Amino acid sequence: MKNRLQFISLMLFIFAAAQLFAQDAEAIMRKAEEKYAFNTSKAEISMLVYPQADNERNFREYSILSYGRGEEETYLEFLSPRSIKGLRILSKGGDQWVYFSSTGRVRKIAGKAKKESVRGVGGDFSYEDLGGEDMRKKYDFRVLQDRSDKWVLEGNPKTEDATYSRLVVTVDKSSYLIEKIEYYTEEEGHYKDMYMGEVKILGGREMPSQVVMINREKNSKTVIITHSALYDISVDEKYFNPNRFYK
Amino acid sequence: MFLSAVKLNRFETDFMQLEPQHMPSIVNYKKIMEKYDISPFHSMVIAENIEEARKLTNKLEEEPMVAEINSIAYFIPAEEEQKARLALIEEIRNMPERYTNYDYSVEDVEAFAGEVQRLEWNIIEMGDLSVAGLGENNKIVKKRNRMIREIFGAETGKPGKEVFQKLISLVESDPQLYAKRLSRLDAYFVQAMDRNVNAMTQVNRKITVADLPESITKGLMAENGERNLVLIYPQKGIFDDLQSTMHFNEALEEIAPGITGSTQILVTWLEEINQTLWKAALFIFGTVILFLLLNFRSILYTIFASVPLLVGLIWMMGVYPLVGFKLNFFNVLMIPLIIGMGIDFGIHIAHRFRTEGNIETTYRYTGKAVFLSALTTMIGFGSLGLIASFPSIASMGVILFFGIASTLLTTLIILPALFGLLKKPGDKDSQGEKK
Repeated sequence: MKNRLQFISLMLFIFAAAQLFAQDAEAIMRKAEEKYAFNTSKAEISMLVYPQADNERNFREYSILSYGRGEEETYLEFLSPRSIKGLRILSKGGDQWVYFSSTGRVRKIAGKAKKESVRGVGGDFSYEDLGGEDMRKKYDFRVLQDRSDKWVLEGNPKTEDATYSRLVVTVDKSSYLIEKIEYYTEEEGHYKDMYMGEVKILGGREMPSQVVMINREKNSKTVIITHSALYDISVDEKYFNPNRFYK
Repeated sequence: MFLSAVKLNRFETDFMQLEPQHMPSIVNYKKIMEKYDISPFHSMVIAENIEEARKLTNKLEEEPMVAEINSIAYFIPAEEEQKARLALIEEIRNMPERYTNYDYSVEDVEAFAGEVQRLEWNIIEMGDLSVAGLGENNKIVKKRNRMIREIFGAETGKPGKEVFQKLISLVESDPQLYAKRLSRLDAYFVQAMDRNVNAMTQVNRKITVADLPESITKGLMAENGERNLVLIYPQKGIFDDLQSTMHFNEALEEIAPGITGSTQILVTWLEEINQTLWKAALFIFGTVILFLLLNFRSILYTIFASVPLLVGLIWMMGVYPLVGFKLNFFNVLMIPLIIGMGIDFGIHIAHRFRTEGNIETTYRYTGKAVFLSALTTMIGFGSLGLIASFPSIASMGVILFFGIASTLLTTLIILPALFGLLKKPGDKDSQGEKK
């Protein structure tokens, strides 16, 4: 009888411990994602695209002013290079509009694939990588490693529209900031690595000012540097209106 | 619990999943499947003549699991279709006047200038997008810049060749003159076009196999010129599960009973393995039981010796799908091997218990030996499962590891409980059947 009770207690403990770990991972991700959560944003960024990750000399640089609202609305305006200064891209859900300052025309571009680079201008960042949508909505997380200063979490898709087959997310224990995300796909295996560093106070928040995405399949690299950012500010409605975003 | 999990087992029908996934050939195979939505493993059927090929092709086209068909019927249209086309060609050939000259008006010249302007804008925008995606010195923008003046977003720079603007200015400078010139250009164009159409409409007989290039006929036609091959490529998901593969085969078999190819061979193999495996497993198990009966001369001890294996096999088959593994052509062949190896533990323990009549002593000595020998076997097979780069070979190691581990566990957990049944209340040491 005593043995049976011990066995049942042990099983209950194992079950409870498993639940505790699962809850921990979700809680860690929730806290980490809360760090990057905002309703609206305005940022001035530089994007450096390196066609070969190991060749630091060969790169192209873009300066971009961006506005964001919610998870699906983004406005990008190119400040440089000079040849496309004023080019504006509005993304709303699955649709995109491009305003060409050179011709003064607006063109609607066909729907996007979440895994695709942002109409060629996102370098190695896809729509899903840049989108504000919480990873927890599409992936189930569990603690892979519990180190002294970091958690390593593993995310597996729970919805069919998840782009990646596996995510490995490294979160700093003291700040709850995400330090690295490894992206895996069924076809390419270990596909991309994103590093977030150079933590600064941006818009009153402690945020990584430099995000590096390394595409392991193409051996390319894209760096996004945030120079200034404001969060949860009042943003003119026109930036997200397809009929007015270019005015 | 494990017994109910046994039915969760799935069979890996995609051979490519059993190959090392980093191999360039496998990476390319996956890319082809992904890009073209097609599996390169085709089926084929022989048609006695082109008409039969056409009927088969038409039926196969209606089958949703078929991605692509390569058939001679695509190159030789049906008799009726050829007749109708020849009639149409003849009609075009015999037209007294296929085209009439068009006289451009001043309004047409304005519309023409508007279209040239649109073309210039499109080319400018293509250049802008290419800069956003490929950087400033890409070939598209270089080519664009050779045709237009310098453009920096909304600002303009140095004038360039400006081919579009020059053309617009030119036609707008004297619309009447350029209306006449456009009419003349059109007349030349019409004549050249008419010559081409005339050459194309000289066909006045049906197409036969003899008209086709060798590159097409070589792979599809037999030497007698009648029998031909129809190749069928399935959709990419056909090997995802056994049900899809079987369903694909049944559908094709219904259309063409003589069909053969990769999926048909795969299913035949599976059926053969399925039958042989269970026959072999039953034969081995039956022989082992017979030997045990002869050796123990006791039904009870035969049951004792064989229960760990039976329950262990159920555990193994139950755990296997729960941890995400699939059965395949290679690892199922290990099941008879597990029967042969796993029965040893029960035999050793049952023998010792029969001699000792004491569970504790039995497990202290023989139990320890069984445990250690199982452990070393598990390490061996487990290493194979861990380090083998071929998933097929690794899966053999994994199933052997699970088989030995579950048989060992049942020997250590279930068997003492069974021995305990022989104990009478108040007995310190059961003598069992000790004589």
